[in-house]
Amino acid sequence: MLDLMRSDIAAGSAESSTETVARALATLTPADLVQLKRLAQLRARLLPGLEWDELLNEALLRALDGSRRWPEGVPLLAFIAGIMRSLVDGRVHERRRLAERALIGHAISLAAPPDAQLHARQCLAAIARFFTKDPDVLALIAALAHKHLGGSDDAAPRLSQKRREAARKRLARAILRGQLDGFLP
Amino acid sequence: MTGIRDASDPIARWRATIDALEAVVRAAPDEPEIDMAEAKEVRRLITMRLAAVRPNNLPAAWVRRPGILPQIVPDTGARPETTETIDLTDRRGRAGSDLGSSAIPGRRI
Repeated sequence: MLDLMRSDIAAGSAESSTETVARALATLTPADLVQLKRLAQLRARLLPGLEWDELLNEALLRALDGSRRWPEGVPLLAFIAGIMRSLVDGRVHERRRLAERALIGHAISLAAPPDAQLHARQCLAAIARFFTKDPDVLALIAALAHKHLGGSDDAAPRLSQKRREAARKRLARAILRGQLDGFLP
Repeated sequence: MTGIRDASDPIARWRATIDALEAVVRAAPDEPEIDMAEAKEVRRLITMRLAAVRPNNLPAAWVRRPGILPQIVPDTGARPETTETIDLTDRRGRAGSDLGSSAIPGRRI
């Protein structure tokens, strides 16, 4: 994996952001490209009906048209992943707003549309089923998700360092090989 | 990450799970078995996007410059015999307008 930074690519300060991103994209290795696809697939799973290639295409457009600047010190894949995250968040908020508007007058307050909640539950259940024979991976996912929910930083405290790293490798392999995505609803 | 999200909300938990899985993928070493078809698929998507951003990436010599009209040089070499004729005249007996000014009215090719 190249882990490209902006400073690795930009020929000089005069070079446009578009050109810098374009040149960096052209140098991505096959491993980077597959990783980019997996990141898009994961992020697209947050929104039922959203396709990964549609999301990635939109993110590339934003990166290349200059509307999102590639900051110094941020790897290219992290930059693109950040754009995808922002795009999905925007669409989630938009759907929620539309659902709330549709319910005006019905005296019901919704935090999120019911289909989105059902989809989230189904995805969480699918992950639990996929790793049902690997409790270490499930513990790791739960601990990492807890951390992203604002919990403690101690990932999977019940696991030893060695088991945690082994679980992390198995999890990464399942995602990178596309096995997990094929299992999700 | 901004603030503590509601852990009981399935959407918040699913989003946090995706964030976690994304972090694992980004920190992972290269997978030794790369599916080249998938890599090509993403490469093609990037290439199409790059082509849209750079609509004119031909060498300067290949690009028609403004004010210079294209010259069509007649082919003087031997041509194969045509077996069919196409009538390009319209109802008024003139050649189709898309043939340009060099078209001969009523010409058959």
